[in-house]
Order: sequence, then structure tokens, then C-alpha cells
Amino acid sequence: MLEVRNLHASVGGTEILKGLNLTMKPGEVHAIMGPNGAGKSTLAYVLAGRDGYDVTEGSISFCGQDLCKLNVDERAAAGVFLAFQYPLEIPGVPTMTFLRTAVNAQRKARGEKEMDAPSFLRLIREKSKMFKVEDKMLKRPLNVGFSGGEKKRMEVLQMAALEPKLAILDETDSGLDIDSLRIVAEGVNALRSPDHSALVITHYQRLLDYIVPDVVHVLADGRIVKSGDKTLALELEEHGYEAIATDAA
Amino acid sequence: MSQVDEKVEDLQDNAGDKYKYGFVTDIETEKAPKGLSRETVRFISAKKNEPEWMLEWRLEAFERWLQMEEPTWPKVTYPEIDFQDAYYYAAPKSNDDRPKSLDEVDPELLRTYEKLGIPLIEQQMLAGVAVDAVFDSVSVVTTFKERLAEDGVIFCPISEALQSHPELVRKYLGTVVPQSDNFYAALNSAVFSDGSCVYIPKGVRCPMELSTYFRINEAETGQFERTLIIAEEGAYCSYLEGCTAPQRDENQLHAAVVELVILKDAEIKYSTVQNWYPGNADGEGGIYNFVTKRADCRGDNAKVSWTQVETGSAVTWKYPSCILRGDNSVGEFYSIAITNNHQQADTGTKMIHLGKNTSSRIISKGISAGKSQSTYRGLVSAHKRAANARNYTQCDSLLIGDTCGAHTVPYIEVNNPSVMIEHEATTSKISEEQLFYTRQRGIDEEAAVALIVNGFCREVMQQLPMEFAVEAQKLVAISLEGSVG
Amino acid sequence: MTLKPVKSAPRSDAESLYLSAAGARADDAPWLAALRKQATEEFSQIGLPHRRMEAWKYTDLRALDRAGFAPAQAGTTVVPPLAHGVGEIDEIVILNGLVVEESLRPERFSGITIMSIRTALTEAPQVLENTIGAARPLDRSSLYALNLSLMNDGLVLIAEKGASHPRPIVLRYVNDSVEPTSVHVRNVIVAGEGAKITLVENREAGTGANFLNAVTDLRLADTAQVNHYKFDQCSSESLTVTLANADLGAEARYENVGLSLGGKAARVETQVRFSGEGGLARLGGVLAGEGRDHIDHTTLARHDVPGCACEEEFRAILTDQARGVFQGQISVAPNAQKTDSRMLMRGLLLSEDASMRCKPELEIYADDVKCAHGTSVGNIDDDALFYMMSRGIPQIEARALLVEAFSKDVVELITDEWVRQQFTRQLTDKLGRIVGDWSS
Repeated sequence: MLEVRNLHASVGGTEILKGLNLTMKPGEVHAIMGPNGAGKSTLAYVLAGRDGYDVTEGSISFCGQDLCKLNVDERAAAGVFLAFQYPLEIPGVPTMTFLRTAVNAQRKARGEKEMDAPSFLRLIREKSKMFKVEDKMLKRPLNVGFSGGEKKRMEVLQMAALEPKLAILDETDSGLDIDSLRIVAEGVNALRSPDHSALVITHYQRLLDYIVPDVVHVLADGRIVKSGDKTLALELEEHGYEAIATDAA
Repeated sequence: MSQVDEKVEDLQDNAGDKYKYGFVTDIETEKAPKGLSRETVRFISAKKNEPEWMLEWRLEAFERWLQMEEPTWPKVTYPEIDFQDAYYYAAPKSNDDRPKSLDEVDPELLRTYEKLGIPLIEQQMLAGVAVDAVFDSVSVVTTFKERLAEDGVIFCPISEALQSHPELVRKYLGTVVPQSDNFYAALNSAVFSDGSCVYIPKGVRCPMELSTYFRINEAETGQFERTLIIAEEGAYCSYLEGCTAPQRDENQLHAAVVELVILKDAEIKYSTVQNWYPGNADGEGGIYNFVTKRADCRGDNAKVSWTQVETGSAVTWKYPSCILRGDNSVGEFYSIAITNNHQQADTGTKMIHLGKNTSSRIISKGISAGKSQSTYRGLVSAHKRAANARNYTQCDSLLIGDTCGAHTVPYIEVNNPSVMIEHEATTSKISEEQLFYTRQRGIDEEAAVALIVNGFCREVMQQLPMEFAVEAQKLVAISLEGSVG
Repeated sequence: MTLKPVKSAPRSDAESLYLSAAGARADDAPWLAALRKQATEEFSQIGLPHRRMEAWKYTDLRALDRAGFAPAQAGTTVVPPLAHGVGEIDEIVILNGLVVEESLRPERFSGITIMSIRTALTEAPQVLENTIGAARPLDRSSLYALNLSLMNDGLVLIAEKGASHPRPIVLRYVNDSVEPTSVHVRNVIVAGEGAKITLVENREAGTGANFLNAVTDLRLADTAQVNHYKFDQCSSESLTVTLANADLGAEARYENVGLSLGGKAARVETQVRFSGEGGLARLGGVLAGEGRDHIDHTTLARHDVPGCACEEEFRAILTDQARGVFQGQISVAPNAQKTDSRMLMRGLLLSEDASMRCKPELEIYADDVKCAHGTSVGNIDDDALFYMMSRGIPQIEARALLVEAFSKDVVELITDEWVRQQFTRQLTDKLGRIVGDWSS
């Protein structure tokens, strides 16, 4: 489903990713762990196609498509979803409007019929119940005045509504209380199916107690230095990144 | 979720049709001789069979105009206008023989309306909106008069009001915007062609939104509309004004005057969506729009609310104002001004606080893109008697790209110590982060910009009546086409 | 249609009086003579600034100065040193428009050249040609022209690269004439790379009615730092018009804070041009007026290059029939990205007849900028007053505390310790009178 080969990417002329390889099969959940500055967020942005994150070498293949040839919104329509570490506030744009615009834009891009208002409303009602998002939050401008936890829950609500093939969660656990963490994890787990994969980027093992990954990768200095099963996360927690990174090198 | 929000996604639908209303109707018109003179004024007045005092009033305005100079203080530039090289009156030929029903209307006209999306018959049945359609200066069809007449509401072309209710027009015309108020108001007073006259009697709440679709069609014809609305004690009305215009190359001058008289406990809500031809991407052609709009809150507790969405015209010069004379009277100004390509807009308001406990609110959202220039110019003035007057002004500018300009020129004058005036202004751009976030959700760049800009304008959009809000949101998207990427 | 030319008002007595004094001076170099001639013509055509000129909309000097002030004659008074608080200062006296040469004490300066304009005209004309001759104020009023036409003295201060003067240099404008007189002073301040100086312009009320028209050119080289303060004690029959015209190099820092305590008309104008990246300007002022005072603070900040910041903080406290005017323009050129500019003006009206005029203006031609301004005009916060009184603070004291707190943000802009003390003392004295009158 996702095949990243020898990926080199730079930001502002500085190379951050230095030959990263990553293969994900359909339905798998992979976790990427690594120290600050290893390139975790850069990987997320490169996959999503953010301007200024330049791929200088290597390839990204996603469901048979060359991801590098698509722009940001085309990648989203193709099924790449990024849950932001710091979700943006968009003043004046009601959350509901934003969600509906996004859902229908993606459907349109995929040549599907747009969702009518009642079915959309039903969809969001159902999802918001699941993520404990109150109605009044949906009426407010997107993320404006939301607490850190509310913003993160809104990110997974968007994910659930858009049903991406690949959900990338960029440190979604940072700044989350334990209840919100559980809600977020439930959302990801609910989406888990042979058609839906997730790439969970995190600094701590904590989230992986709730979202149990199939594969854990250690990212250090722009490369995946070690991969393993979920026990690798525990190992990291115990010995720290340095030991693993040095060990691997 | 409001209906307005649900309609936002319709934005994409219209993203393709550049200037949707860019076509020219071929219809024979009867013109006044080219140029401006006493004779032109007499011709117009005679053509409309006006009473003698009206002709005198026009001639007086003309004399004053000759003494005046074109204002140069707005932050706009345009080639010098040769006022002698324009026609000041044009009417569809069929005017002498006014149609009694839609069947008698020139089919060419009706087809024009259809292209504009205002099929009158359907509108009569479905929309419940009375339409006083102005086509090249002469009002052709007025609907819903009977329903309005039941409540004693007068809604008709001002030319007609001059025949049927001359005493009413004489009593109020020019009392809010005097003939010599400014260069363009004087010009309008001398040669105004037609416009709407509305009278809401004491205690009447106008049963429907009153709407006029203005349209400029004839080449080289200045359009000089005159609107007069009077709300008697305790009356209420909501008036909608919207414009589209055919695409052509010559610059066309438009100088309208709108006067609102609001008596004790009365309220007028005046909404405008202005979508006149802005000129092409190289700044050629387009309408010059020099408008004087003013409301006079004459009685206590009177209220006026101006809401405008300005996306059209090559040059806009417009300051809908409120004179808050009555105690406790309230003035509001909500504005969105979008300029793209080579458009220039110098717009804002004046809040003149004269009475006690008067309050006003100004929310202005300016969006500049392309090589355009957008200026907010506003005056808040609290006179000596205006004890406890309150004003709040929020003036935000959004720049799209680095070749446009956004300017804010507020004037604040306070002569009473119990007054509280607050003014805030900000300038920003659409952040790269916001755009990335929105696009990551699958929304393409132009739609993302339209979405974010509509969010920026939301406080103003919310003030518009439903059907106008929907149109306005689409206009935002259309106006900003080609401004990104 | 042909348009008629604007009718210009007939020349007033004041304008005639000023023009009669104009003309070339014996010492003038040819470039200066030419400049003066041009300036005199300009003033002759335009006359005193009046309300139909946008920049003088709220300060109509033509109306405020009808009779005019005759050119001042040399003074005779021996000016006693300024009574001042803790800390040493350097005093330079300008008596009736002429620099008192003995007050220039070059031995107290190191790396800094000081002299009078009169001396410079003969001994260092090149310096003047490079500064006055090359001055390009952002907005050139007819008073600037009048100054150019009539000025014959002022201070020249040139700080070499890296020079740092430890004490505030206090430039005292003193007037001892009995008859109404006018003085037109020009100062030239050049701060070399990394130089640091503190300049205080102290406008003293003087004996009779008088008109001070002072223009100060400041040129700050890269990383130079100039702290510039103005104290205006202008009597109720007198006029003050001062213009600071500063040009900032890369990473230069310019601080300009003024305290205006009255006058028939006091206009304090500051123009800042950012010519090098990373410049910072902090502008502030307190306008404290009573009686029929008319006080106008006007600023123009022009960002010609990217990455400069400008902070502005102004307060007006007005009682009786006093009028305050604040005009602030922030202008950002098309390439001046990453400009960070904010401006706040707050006015407090303490009497029925006091009034305020504000025009905070933004002119933006670049998209990646942070520009904001805020203005409020009103009365003292009743809730705060009530709160303080409920805690046992008497009304008059509570008011005084609130009014004083009102101007705190401006005082905090001042980095120089001595100036801050002076500022606080003079302001507190004035506010004591204003609040005292108001409470009675």
C-alpha cells in the first residue's frame, strides 16, 4: 500500500530525511518512534505534500500511485490524512462547513456523488458522539478557542468522517489527558480494517498501549534504524533512544 | 448549523464562470443628447413629465455642480472623466407606452432577466420578493404592489412616485443628502434618471423584503439612480439592492444617491451586493461607482443598518453613513470589500453621533488581491450633545499576494467626555499553515482560499438576508479567482 | 469641463511677517542659499498649514497664528542651570534661537563633535550639505519650508563610530523676549555605527509669547542607538512645532518619547524612515492639556525595507477646553515584508468641553506583515473607581491613581533613568493640577 524507498528530503536546504525506507501493507498499523529532531514530523509533512518539504531523492508509492506527483489536496483525495500535531485555527469558518466542504471535495475528486445534507448530518452526529464532541463545538469556527484535547479529538473526528486509506497521526498524543487519549485511540482502532492503515508517529510508548501497532520503527537522523514488533516500543521506553540508535548504527 | 453555512460548499459550483453576467442585450434605446447642460436637465425632466418644482430643483443642483470640483482625496486613480462625453438619459423605447403586464414587456428584456437568474413570474410565486427591476434607468415592472398596498406601503419607481405622491417626494428628497453635498451627489441631483421610492407608514412592518436589481446596459450611459426610503414612526423595512452588469470595454460612470429617513422607533435594514463589471484582468473597462448613501435617524430609538458586499466595479467610492440624531438611535455598518486585479475601492462609513445614548458599530473586512488597492475610510464623530454615545469599530484587512495594497484611514472626533469610542484595525494574510491544513483535507487551493476568506468575512455575511448571503459567498469565490497559485 | 483652480486664501498678517524676515544670510553657502530661496517661495505660495491640508486637518495653524511672531533678537539673560534630579547631564542652551557658545563644552565629550550650526556654516559646511542639504522628510510641510527659510542656528552633533555618551544631552530652548517672537532652529544629529546617545529637547515656557519651530534631523548608521526625548512646557499664548526626522540604518534603534504639557498649539511630529533591515523604533507621548491647550502628536513611520519593527504608545489626558490630536501613519512599502508595527492611542476626557481628534492610519503594500492599531477615547473606568473607593481610597486619590496608571505604558517606554524621573515628576505635577481641578 505504501512503499517509501530511499527517501531524501530537505527543508530550507537542510537535509532532514536521509534515505528512509518504509513498507506498509494494507490494514497495518505502524508506529514511528524517535528522538526530537529525528525527522518524524518532516516525514509526515513530506507524505502529505507540504510546500517547502522537498523530496530530493527516492520515491513514495501509495496504492500504486506516485505520491510525489500529486499536490496536497490530490493526496488527501487519494486517501492520505494527516492528523496535525498542532491543529490550525480557522477563524470564521464553522467546523460543520469545513467538514462538509472537505468530505464533498474529496468525493467529487474521486468521482463519487456528493453527500446530501441529511446524510452528512447523520454521519457527523454519529462520529461526534463517538469522539465526545459536543454539538456546540461543531457550530464554532474550526478549532478556534478549542482546548488542546478538543482540537485533537476534532482531528480524529475529521479522520473518521473522511475515512482515509492511510491516516498519519503526528504526535496526536502530545498534550492529551488520559481520557482524550483513550477516545483518540478508540477512533483509530475503529477505523482499523484491511482497507485502512495508520502510521502513528509518537515520542512515547503510552499511546501504543491503546493502539497496538503491527510494526514499530525507530527513526533517527533521517533514517529508520530499527524495526520490530510492539515489544520494540517497550524496549525503547526502558533503554532510551540513544541505546537503540547506537546499537543499530 | 445555519442554512448559510450549508450553502458554503456551493462555492465550488460557480468557480468556473468568471463573469457570469457578462453579456450585452441588444435593445433600442432613446437617448438624451450627449453631454451635460441645462438642456439635458430639462430634457430628462420633461421626458419624465415632472412637476415644475422638480425641474427647478434639478437646475439648482446643476448650477451647484458647475461650481464644484471632483474630489481627489480618495485613494483611487482613474483617467479624467469627460462629463460632456456621456449620455445622461437612456430609456427602452417601449417606455412611452408602459407595459401593463409582463406580456407587454419587450421579450428581449425578459430574456435578459432570465439570463440574470431572475425570472419574474417564478419569483412572484416562489420567492415572495417584490422586484422593482431597473433596466437602463427606467423601471419596467413592479410586482407585489397590491400586497404592499394593503399595508399602505408605497414601493415604486421614484419617477412614478413623483406623479402619484409628489408631496411625499418633495417633503423628503434632498433632506438627507442635499443637492450640493458633494460633486457626485450634485450631479445625481441634476440628472438622476430613476430609482426606487419606498414609504412605510406608521407602525407597519413591511411584510416582505424589498428588492431591486440594478443593471447597467447601454454603452456610454451614465447611470444615476436615486433612492428614497422613508420609515415612519415604528415602521420597519428591509431593502435589498443587488447589481450585475454586462461585460464591455468602455468605462461607465455610476453615481447613485440613496437617502433613508428613519423616524421615531423605526428601523431600516439596507443590504447591498454589488457585482458590477470590474474591468478585465489588465484593468481595462469596468464601472466607476461613486455613490452617496446616507441615513438620517430623525427620531428617538431609530435604527439603521447598512450591510454591503462590494466585489465589483473598477473604482468604488462609497461611504454609507448614519446620522444619529434621535436619542438612543443606533447605526450599523457591516462591509466586505473585495478587490482583485486592478480594482480600486475606497469605502467606509460615517457615524455622526448627535443624540444622547446613541450607539454605532462598524465591522469592515477588506480583501485585496492581484494588483488591487483597497482602502477603508471612516469617520466616527461624537458631538457635544451626544452624551454616552458608544462606538465600536473593527477594521480588518487581508492581503492575498504581495502586489496589492490595503489601507485604513479612520477619523475619530470626540467632543463629549462620557463618550466611549473603540477602534481596532489589523492587517494579515492567509497563512501558509491554514492553507496547507485546509488542502490536506482535500479542498483545492482556490476553494480553500474562498473558504478561509468567507470565514474572515463571516461577521458581515451573517448580517445579510439568507438569499443574499448565499449569493455573496459565491461572489467571494468568483471575485478571488486567479488570485492564488 | 474645465475645472477652476483652487482659490488660495489671501496672505495673513502672520504669513507676511514671516516672509518679510526671509532672505539669504551672509554666511550661506550657495547650496544653502538656493535651498532657502526655494523654501521661501514654497512658503510664499502655501502659507501656514491649515485644516484643508490633510496632515494639518486638526491643527489649523493659519487660524491659530493670525498675527505672527516677529523674529527673535539675541537674548541677554544668563540662563541658570536646570534644576534636576539625580544623575549628571550635559546642558546646551539655545537662547532666543541662538546657541549659547559657552554652554557647548566639547571637553565633556569623547568621540563626539558638537558645534553650533552658525559655526558649522563656516567651519564644517560639508557636514551641513550632507545632512540638511540631503534631508528628505517623509512629509514636507510649509513649516518645514519656513524653518529652512529662516533658521540660522541650532546644534550639530556628530558621534563617531562606536562612540557612547554616558549622560543625557539636554538641549534647552529658552526665550527671554517680552514681545511675541519666533525662533526657527535646526539641529543635526549624526550617530555613527554602533554609537549611543541620549538627546533631550527641553522646550521651556520663556518669558513672553513665543513660537518655536524646530527641526531635528537624525541619521542613525547601522546598529546606532539614539534615545530622543521631548519636554514641552509651552505657555498658553505660545506655539511649538517640532519635527524629528529620523533615518534608521540596519539594526538601529530609535526611541522617541514626548511629554507635552500645553500651549496655544503644540505640534510634535516624528517621522521615522527605516532604511536598513532590523531597525526598531519605539515612539510614545503623553498629551496633558488644560485650559485652551491644543496639543497634537503626529507620527509617520515608513518601512522601506523588510524586517523592521515599530511600537507606538500614546496617551492623552485632557480637561477644560483642551483639545488633543493624534495622527499616526504606518506605511509599508511593497518589499518591506515581515514588518511588525503596532500603534495604540488612548484618550481620556475629563471635562465637558475637552475634545479629541484621532487619525490612526495604515498604508500597507506588503502581504507578510503584522500591523495593528487600536484607539479608544472615553472617560475614567467607573467600575475601577468604585472598586478602589470600596477599598477605602478617597475619590480624589483614586482618580489620581487611575489617571496616572493610564499613562504608565508610555513612561515604561523610556529607557533613560534620568529622563524617566523627569517625565514622571513633570507629569505627576500636571496631573495633580488636572485631577485636582476636575474633582473640585
